[in-house]
Amino acid sequence: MNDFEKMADEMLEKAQIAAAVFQQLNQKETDRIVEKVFHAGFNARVKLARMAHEETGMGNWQHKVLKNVIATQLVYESIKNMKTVGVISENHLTGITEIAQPLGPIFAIVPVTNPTSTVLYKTLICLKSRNPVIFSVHRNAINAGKEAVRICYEAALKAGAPDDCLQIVQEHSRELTHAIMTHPKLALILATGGTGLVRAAYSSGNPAIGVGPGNVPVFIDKSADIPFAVSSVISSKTFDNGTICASEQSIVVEKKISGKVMAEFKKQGGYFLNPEEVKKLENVAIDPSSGGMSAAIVGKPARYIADLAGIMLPENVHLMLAPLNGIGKDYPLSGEILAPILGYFECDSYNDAIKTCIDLNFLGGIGHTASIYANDDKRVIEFAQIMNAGRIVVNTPSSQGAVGWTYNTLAPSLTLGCGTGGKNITTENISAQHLINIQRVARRRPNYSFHNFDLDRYNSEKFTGKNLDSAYYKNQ
Amino acid sequence: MLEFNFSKPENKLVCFISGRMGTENNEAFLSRVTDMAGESKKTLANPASLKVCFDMKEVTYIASSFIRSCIVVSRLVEDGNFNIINASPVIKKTFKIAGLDELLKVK
Repeated sequence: MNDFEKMADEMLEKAQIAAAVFQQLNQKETDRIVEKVFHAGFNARVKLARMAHEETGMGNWQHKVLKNVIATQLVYESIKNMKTVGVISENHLTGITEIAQPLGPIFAIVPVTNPTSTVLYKTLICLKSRNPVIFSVHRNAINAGKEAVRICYEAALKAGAPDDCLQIVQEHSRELTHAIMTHPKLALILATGGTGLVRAAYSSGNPAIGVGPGNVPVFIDKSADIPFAVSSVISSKTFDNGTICASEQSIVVEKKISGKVMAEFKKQGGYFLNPEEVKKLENVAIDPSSGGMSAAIVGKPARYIADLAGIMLPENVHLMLAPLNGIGKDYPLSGEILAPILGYFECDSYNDAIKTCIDLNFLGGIGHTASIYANDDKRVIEFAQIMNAGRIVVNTPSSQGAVGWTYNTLAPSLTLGCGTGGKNITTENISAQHLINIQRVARRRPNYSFHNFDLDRYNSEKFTGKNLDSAYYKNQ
Repeated sequence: MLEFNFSKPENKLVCFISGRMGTENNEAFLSRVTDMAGESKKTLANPASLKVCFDMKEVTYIASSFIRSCIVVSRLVEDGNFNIINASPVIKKTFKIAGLDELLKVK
């Protein structure tokens, strides 16, 4: 056993004991812990937001406060009445009783883009489901992450949670992460992070809920309220400087309304780059080795990025839009960029626009989120059926809409399932209900048709399937 | 609550434990059991023969600290000379999940 394996073993041993102790608690005792941790995290929302902003240099602290509010107040509101312990449902008609059991130790990976809010949110949903957590916070946000874990842990202990119910990895290394991910005592990996990390989680041999990258297309239909749509997109894409993975990545419109859409963007603080400026932006926004976004511009304001690229922005510009003629590696700005930069596609027809959205959706964002602005519900449903996205947000800022609860009734979450397209097990917004094993007590409720059917008939070849089917369902 | 019964012919110290074994009372618990085990050893010709048994018939909840105390006490005696009896199903399951039911011989 090497040093990393020893460290992993020590943490998992503690977590295993915590899991054992935790499963003795009843719903009331569990809810008390969750409530106290919610209050502690909510009270620390500003301090933690400032720490995260100062340490990472990403986004802005006021928006990070809002993220912390979502991760505490809104998450708590959504789970506080949820049954997660013991008998959670009984159906006398079907004879099924459902019983919730905790999963066991969870390894929670926390991204640099939303460090403290992700810690707060994952803490609440894991404690609600009586699971201890080992956090691994991105190295560039480690101090803010540690403080968030410390605040939650102290509150949890005071409220009666088991020792070591929250731990944090103190040393960052691939070997240690691998040792924890593959440890036999680990129950689940909650992986929110880059593609490589999520893949590593899925190939660890332990169950994982991972979240893939997004590449959110926004279709503005001719039936849309254009000034409203543009205002909504700008507020979402500039929120925390675009660090939410569900933020808009490209605008897609038909030519016939493009003039109005462009004018509205310009009016509200958008700047359309010329082809030369698009090239300059690509040089700073794209990492040439990976072809993906450069870490240097993630969560930075538009003006900062423009300065890096040598682009002169007019006053009052918050967002850059790059008109693009294609999608894929020759047009790198058509991929996911977590900064106030949008691709812009002008299409000849509605069908062309939808096909463009399909290409964008499949360019690294399968299963994540798609966005539509329309006042024609037929188009909304058509668009939704064509997209491969766990969430199709309608007339809604995508960042906040996908995260849930503020603009719709989706569960508030900072881990957004992307379905099998994103190599995930679910398309749902992950919350406490995904962190329990549900046992089903199945009482005897004989199937009338089966028990009244002469089963010997199945053995006779003189009966066709059709004959058997008719006889089986006779008089029903 | 904690009561002891030391039977010399069997060299066995039985600790009758009842109630909630939370973090708050663990330090005092461990101290008393350690002291009692030390005193019991002194009365034996072969101190290594001491056996310690936790009778947990009346225990309703155990904290992490109590589990750690069980490990500490099991190390005060020779291998195989510590066991836990009369654990309720919930307590038995707790030791099972912790992966310690065999080490601590939980019955």
